[in-house]
Amino acid sequence: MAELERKIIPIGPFHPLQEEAEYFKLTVEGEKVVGLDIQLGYMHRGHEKICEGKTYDQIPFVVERICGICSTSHPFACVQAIEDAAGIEIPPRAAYIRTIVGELERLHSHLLWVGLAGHFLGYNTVWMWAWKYREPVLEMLELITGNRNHYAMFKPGGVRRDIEGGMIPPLLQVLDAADKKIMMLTKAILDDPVLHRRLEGVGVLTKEKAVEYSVVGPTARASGLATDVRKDDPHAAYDWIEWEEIVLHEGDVFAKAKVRLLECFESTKIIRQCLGKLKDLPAGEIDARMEYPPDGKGIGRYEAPRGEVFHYVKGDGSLYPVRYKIRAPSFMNIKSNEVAVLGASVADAAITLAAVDPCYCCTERIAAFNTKGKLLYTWDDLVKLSQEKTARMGGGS
Amino acid sequence: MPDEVTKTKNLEKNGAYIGDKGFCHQRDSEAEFKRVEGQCREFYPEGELNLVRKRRWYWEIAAEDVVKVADFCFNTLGCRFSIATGEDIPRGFTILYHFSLDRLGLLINVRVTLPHDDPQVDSLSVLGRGFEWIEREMHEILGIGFRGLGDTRHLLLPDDSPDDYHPYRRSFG
Repeated sequence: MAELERKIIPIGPFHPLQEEAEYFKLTVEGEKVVGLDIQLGYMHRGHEKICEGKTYDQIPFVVERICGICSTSHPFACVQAIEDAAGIEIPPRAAYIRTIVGELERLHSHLLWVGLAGHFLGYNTVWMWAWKYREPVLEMLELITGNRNHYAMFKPGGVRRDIEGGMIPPLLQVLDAADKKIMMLTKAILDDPVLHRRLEGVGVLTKEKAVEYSVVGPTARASGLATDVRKDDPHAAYDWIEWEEIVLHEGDVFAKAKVRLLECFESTKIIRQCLGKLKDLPAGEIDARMEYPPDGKGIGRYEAPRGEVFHYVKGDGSLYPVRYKIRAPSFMNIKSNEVAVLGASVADAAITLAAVDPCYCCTERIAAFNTKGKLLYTWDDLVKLSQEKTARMGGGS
Repeated sequence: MPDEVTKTKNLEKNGAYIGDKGFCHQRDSEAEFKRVEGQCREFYPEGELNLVRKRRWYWEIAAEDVVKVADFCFNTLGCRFSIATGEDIPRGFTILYHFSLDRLGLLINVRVTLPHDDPQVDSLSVLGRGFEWIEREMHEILGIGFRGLGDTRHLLLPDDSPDDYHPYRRSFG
């Protein structure tokens, strides 16, 4: 057979498949992918440099805006880095509240990925179901923090808002309902012969390659690497409650989906235990004071839905850090695509590239117009509407 | 709980062997911390190992030994490469290579210092491809040269950025 000519298929930087700008240059021989070059930089905003011009109280707000989906993971790692440098211990109640918010975020993020993965496969029923059941999780976050996203919950030394006793019963109710729906979705996906055939053996990342690329999160755990910062490097309340780390060995897209789905149950288990513990702790003790700005270095890490988020801070005793380093999990995970996608067909490339759950860092402000171009709501109106909705849910102003 | 949860419980936990990378999760074993500390000191006695906190060690080494020490952390101890932090400080450039020993939850931060006038260091891309992107990043934002790094294209900055454009240097702007 004559040798096939090599051709390049560009995916991106702007492509309907991706919500985020990134350029994947696929080299193909016929239908087979034989090479991948990834080019970054389209979303670079210089957060590390921005943080060096902000005070320690302001930095959590800045890093929260790195990503619209894991918007509590960056502040989680950030406040831990600052606390590590300043030597602060946070009150137990704050640790439980941090854990609850972190796990709610994991729930909504995993459901979001499951939906997107279904959409990429042309299986829009999965997409619509997953996103439908994600909605009550976002409402729980709104009830606790006042926001569906960008929660502004964390501060060095603790959290900004308490979870009051009255909130716990409705939270447990929503959690029970969410558990049932996620169980149904999980069973539907894990039992679906079409999805098995479509995803098993596709985009395999072997354990050796996972080690070489130092991948993190569900991408690593689906390839047999038991790495999870929540277990490994104890912080917040993860060490005080019971939960399992989900590790599979296949390394394919199906294993990655399975890890995420099964982790959802661990998340609800963690949240339930934390809510139970809150009842025994004195209300209002959610903040330890940071007396002096840190003079030295600190490292904070947190297991975001996509893997380890790493923040490093170096202070000199002034109000501003002299160096702030941020590493999001996708920085390690996306590069592993260059081996996972090799040998695949072009049709499998899209879901393989999406299987590491690359982080979409887009958040937009909105304006609502009617069809004649008349502005219906101003920004202030939208804020007011949002606050009224949260108040109706019983979560305060 | 679905059956899958119990089926897929991580059986390799609690000290079980997980392959060539060592033992998993002996997190609270003081003896294991001591053993790793001894291994580090024995392997590279010239270095200055500071146990700043139980799970945060800083290891000052000579720049020319970076591949040797990184190989020891990555392949002998079985650490995961978390990331590296480059910084411009008054006495030169420093690079902190953050290695995570997950079974102990320990971060070993290997630090090298390079002179301002000729910041060059050996590339760790020989150890694995996971090291490449961060070296490319430090190459462009700080202007540090990595000997042996094949791909030195821009990673984050625009492709047409000039060669002497290093925005994270203190002298920038």
